Amino acid sequence: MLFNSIEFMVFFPSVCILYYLIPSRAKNLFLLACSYFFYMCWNPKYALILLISTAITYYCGLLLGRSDGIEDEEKRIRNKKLCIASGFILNLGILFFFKYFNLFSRTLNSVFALLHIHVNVPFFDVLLPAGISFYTFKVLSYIMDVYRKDIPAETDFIRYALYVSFFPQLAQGPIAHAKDMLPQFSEEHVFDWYNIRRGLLLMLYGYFQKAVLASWLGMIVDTVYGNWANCSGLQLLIATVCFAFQLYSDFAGYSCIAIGAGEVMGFTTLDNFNVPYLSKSVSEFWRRWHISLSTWFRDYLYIPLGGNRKGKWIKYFNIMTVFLVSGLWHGAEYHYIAWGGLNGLFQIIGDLLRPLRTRTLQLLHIQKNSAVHNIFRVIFTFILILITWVFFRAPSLVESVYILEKILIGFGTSAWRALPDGLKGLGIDRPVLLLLLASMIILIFFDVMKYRNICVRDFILKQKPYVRWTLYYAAVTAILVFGVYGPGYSSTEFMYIQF
Amino acid sequence: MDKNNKNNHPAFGRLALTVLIFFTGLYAILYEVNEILRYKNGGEVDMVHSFYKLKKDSLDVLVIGSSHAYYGFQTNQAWEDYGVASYVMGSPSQTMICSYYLLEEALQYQKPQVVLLESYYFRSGKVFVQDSNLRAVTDNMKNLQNKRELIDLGLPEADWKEKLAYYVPFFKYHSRWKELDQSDFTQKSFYKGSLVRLKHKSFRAPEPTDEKKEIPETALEYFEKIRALCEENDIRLVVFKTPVSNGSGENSDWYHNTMGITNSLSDYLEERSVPYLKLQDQVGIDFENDFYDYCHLSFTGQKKVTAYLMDWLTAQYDLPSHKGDPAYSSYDREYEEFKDYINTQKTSGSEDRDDV
Repeated sequence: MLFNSIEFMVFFPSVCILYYLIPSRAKNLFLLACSYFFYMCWNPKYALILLISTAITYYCGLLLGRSDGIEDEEKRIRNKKLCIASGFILNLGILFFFKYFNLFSRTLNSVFALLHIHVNVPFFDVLLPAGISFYTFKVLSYIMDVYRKDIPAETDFIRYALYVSFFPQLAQGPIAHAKDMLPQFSEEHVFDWYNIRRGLLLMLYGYFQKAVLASWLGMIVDTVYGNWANCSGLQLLIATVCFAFQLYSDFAGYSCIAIGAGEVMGFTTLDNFNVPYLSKSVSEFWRRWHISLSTWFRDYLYIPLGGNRKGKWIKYFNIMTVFLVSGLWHGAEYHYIAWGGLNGLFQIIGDLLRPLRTRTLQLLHIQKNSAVHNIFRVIFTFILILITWVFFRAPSLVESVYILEKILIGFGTSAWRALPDGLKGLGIDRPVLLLLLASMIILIFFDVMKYRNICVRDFILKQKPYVRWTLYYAAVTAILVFGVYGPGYSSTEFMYIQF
Repeated sequence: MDKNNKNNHPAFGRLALTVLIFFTGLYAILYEVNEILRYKNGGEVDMVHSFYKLKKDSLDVLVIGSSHAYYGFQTNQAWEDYGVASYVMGSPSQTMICSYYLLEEALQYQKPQVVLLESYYFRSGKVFVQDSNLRAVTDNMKNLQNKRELIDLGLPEADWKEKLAYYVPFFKYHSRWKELDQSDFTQKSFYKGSLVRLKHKSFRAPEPTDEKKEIPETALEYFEKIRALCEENDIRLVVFKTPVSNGSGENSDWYHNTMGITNSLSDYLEERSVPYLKLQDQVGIDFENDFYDYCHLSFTGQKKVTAYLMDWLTAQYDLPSHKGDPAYSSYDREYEEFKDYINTQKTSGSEDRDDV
């Protein structure tokens, strides 16, 4: 069940109304049943895998908790390590089978072919269970938190199963960490009209980002990337910029709906995006983009590997490891791994060049925190991120390189002269172009407000009713009219659902 | 967060009322937006849509049928020359199945003395020819039972999501925001179901033919339902056939098929004592001037057919003139608008299909 489906439009209000009507003690069980129903709408069989992952990590957590009571330190550590290793191996094993086995088989077959060895490693034609990458990371965060004694082991299976399957976060995150989310399922959530409206406003903004902006931008991206060989470098560049904002508005839009849906029911989820395209470096970008995943990698991979505590080169190795794994997490394809690697590489180069940059600024008498320097850094970072998005969006690694080459070569004056003709090739017409420009202005406005820590939602909710209602009506009508949905538009799935 | 606001919950009753008012307001807004965005197709879809604006039980004659009906019968002329209140519940490529459901629908609101059924689509046993034809009938249909039955018949394989877009046409037409023009914001009130083609094309009179073609079973099945419905409601059913040409000869097969169905239907209706007015030769059609294309009449042809039908109907049945009746003043007003419109079009020498 997608957030932008008719089913969800019926499901969500029904769940919320019943949630506030039933007694507190039944709320968790009710939400758990709803979450499993939500998940089973994709494929009922895969709910079993979700349940297995949940059960494994629940018992891992209990065993870890019990191990803490063992007085013999050596035995305690051994037991705990055994528990956490079992939890990781079993859950990553499931993830590997569904997500990476075919990539593994393909790679192995290629290697054997190169070595002239006639072995055929089989492929499995299995459908990737929705949200498996997200909930696997969630359950791993739980056992890590229990292992580190950041949180006690959860003894209530219902509460733990709800943490794993909580429907607003199930399909595409945010990957709420156990220490942030799990305690909330023990709290009482009373009806709070102000928070409900705040949540609904966030959901509304999410729907705007997804249904209007991401979907229309996606048409340009699909048109150009689907026929990249016949497109000019400039068209590919425009499509890549569009993709940068498509992916952002699609995933940030989803996150807004997920966080807003949680808020409506009284749950607080950490922000998943924080104005990423105003970052002044690639490392800052990763502190602002898909924050729940970045912090997961930071807390459960980068820091355990030693982080930046073991010298510069170990730090670089750790950064590369994290981003290669991040690439692999996004998809079992080489171009995702290259995308991750490139993000790591840019950060390492940025770090290595820092003394040179400082020296250059001194020579040019430019203040480090001056507006000019900051604007330059934001633009330069955006360009670097654009390069990485080519690898993310292109169908394969080889094609990514060709597309990038086309963009760099085709970025001449002749390409600019051919722009009007090129726009026709983008697969949109003038009204859509105007709609996209207007939508981008709205997106930028909200991002700038967020960057300045101004909460537009609270501002709206403080207005007089006629102002608020006018805004609500305008927003809902605009989304319903300008959104991409209905007959003829079937491919409006959220992009991160495939990961 | 504003703590005062946060803890200031409205009472349940007030909250429920607020939510109700909000959604009522939203519905009203979307209803108006839908009126702008809905597909109009130069008025061809307006016939079902505008039908509901008629004063209840005010119709004398209801015409049902495809484009042959709404280019063949001129309701404004029927009013001006005979004082008869008529309406064409037409739609493009209206099959017998669609005609039956539209008649069912119309009789919920009107009780006409006469139903005039145009016979061109006896040729088809399908529910609809193209998806847009089905939508032309169902999009604006108000009675949910009729709508449901027709959608279920037309889309037996479709799942509920596909069907939902037929019940809520906004799901499909919201994307028309890109193609809106002036005509989407201005509604013409003088249709009464008839459309007009002022331009004409010249054709040769086709040779009469006696050949006969088999009428599809389903078409006859639904015609019988129409007949039963009329009998049940004490309505006189009259079937008519607007004249056709055979184009420049290239439509010869089509012409022979059409006339074959017409001849077979003539026998069928005669056996059942249903009046069938085959107007191919009777109305004095001028094949040089009276056709817009090979199968649709121009305004001059439409006037001849209307005059013949109205003469016949007024001679056969007691259809009193409502001229001067204040309850029908809208017909006078709309006739004047229609006349002005025709004069303007004739003076400017242009005919914008979407506007006529």
